[in-house]
Amino acid sequence: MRIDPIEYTPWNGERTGLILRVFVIIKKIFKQNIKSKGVLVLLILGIILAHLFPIMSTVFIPRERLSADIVNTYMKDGFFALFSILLAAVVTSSLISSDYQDNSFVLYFSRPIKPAVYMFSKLFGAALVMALFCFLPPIIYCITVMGTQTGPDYWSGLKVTGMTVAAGLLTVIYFSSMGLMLSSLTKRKAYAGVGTFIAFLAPMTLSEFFVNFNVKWRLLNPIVILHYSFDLIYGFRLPDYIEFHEYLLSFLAYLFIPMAVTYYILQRRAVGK
Amino acid sequence: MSEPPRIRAEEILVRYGKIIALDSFTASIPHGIVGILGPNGAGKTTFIKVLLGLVKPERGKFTINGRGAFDIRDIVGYMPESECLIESMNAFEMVSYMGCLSGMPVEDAIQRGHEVLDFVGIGEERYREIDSYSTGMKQRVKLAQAIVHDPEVLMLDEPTNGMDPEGREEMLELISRIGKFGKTILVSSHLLHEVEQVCEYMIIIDQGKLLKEGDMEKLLSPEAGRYRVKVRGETEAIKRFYKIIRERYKPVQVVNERGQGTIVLKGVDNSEHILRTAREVGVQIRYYRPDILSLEDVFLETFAGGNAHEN
Repeated sequence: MRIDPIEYTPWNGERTGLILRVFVIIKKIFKQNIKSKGVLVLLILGIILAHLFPIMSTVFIPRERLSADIVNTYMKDGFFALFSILLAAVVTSSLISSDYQDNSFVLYFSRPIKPAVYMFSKLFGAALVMALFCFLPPIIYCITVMGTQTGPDYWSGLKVTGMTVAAGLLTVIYFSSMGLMLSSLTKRKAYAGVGTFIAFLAPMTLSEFFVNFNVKWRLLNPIVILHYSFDLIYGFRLPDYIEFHEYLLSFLAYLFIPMAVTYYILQRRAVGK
Repeated sequence: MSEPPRIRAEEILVRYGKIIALDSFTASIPHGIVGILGPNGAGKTTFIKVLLGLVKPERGKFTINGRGAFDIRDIVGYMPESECLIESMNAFEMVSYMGCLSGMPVEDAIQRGHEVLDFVGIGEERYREIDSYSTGMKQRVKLAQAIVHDPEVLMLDEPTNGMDPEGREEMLELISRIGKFGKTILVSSHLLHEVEQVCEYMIIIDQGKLLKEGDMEKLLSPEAGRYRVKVRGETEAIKRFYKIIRERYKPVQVVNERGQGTIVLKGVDNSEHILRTAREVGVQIRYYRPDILSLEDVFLETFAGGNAHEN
């Protein structure tokens, strides 16, 4: 006797808005990355090397108060930059490239998702993972310093914590946007990952070489640009040899050119031509 | 076609470099299961992509249920011809994820994901990663992700691609069953019997142009004065028979086999003439009946542009 086939059933629910759909993409990226062994290893190693030691030392040697220069120095740590680059390379490598690889790209764009929405959903998904390293630990550091401080000035500590929130968010987006662009350029996850690493490393190397001839070559170094941004956020001045507009140009180039390129590529792919 | 057309396309022009994929393409597609027929490279996929807004036409406009491309994406389900499944997910995760992207609340998408996977016949395999699936199973998952949000319009691009005969039959059965729920389903295919089996309306495309469209029932209904004649005899005698017959009637199909010929004639008003001619040239009439059309006949005639195609 044949079993009756399962019939098609209509669905009569209410459709959700755009925000919830974006959230679904972000959640997927976050879950996928947090299950990845590579990401977990980098996160754990990076947190130990870049964050755990400064936090522990604060516990054992309390400061008088949380000042901008303490956190600014902490944010400019070499391990922090290195692991941010490595993590960005791993987290963002499959963001868009895997959708090219399995051609699931077409399923997103046959649904009511515009290229800009797709791009920012992917960016925020990666940023959320990056935040576990670039955003959350600096805030924990600030709280630890304030929690163990010997002096009474908590108000300035809160202000510095606020600045750290801004610096952390900037770091997260700064590293993610470059990775996003590289991921939109290729179908291969490995190429995107290596490309992201090189996209930071190559200008850094060039800058370090040519800075001997002209100090303005520092503006080519993406990490130095990020450090200048920290200086400005924490209320310090740029070095005398750098004009503000020169810094701004470099900063905008590193932050927005990757996004613009990604958007352009997605737009071309989303509407076919 | 009592209802107004669900999909209207007017003067759509799409070019890929020098190649014209859709050439001033105009069509009115009604409600129901609609077959888009045409050889490979005819423009079927491009037409579907235009409707989805995945390809921007240089010229022309179209509406689906009176709305433009982006506005309709919530009510459209698309099953692409090519591979498109997220291989790092299992079928259930992917289908419910696509449901969420189409605007279903998470709880609904989870429940509905199970329902549609049951419907398309994916059982416990739904928890296996997609890259371990056979082609047939992948086709079913592709259909499931297209119907998870219960779209009003479904676009299926070569839905039986790569499936075995049994799988093909089941896929067509699924399409028929979805069609009973008042959907408009576009089925693009180059396999005639598939379209004939499930579609109620058909459009034939070639080189980006609409060649023919109409209700399947009407297109396949016997035409007055259309007869199929099979004759047997010497090759020369059959040739003579054809020659005389061609002077009076319009043949739409001529097939020659060894010692036997089949000719389909249009506008036959007098059988006596045919029978007499056969007697005179010395061929035996083995079959003489009003012709019942198959989709293949319609297709071949459309491509022959009204002239007889000879085999």
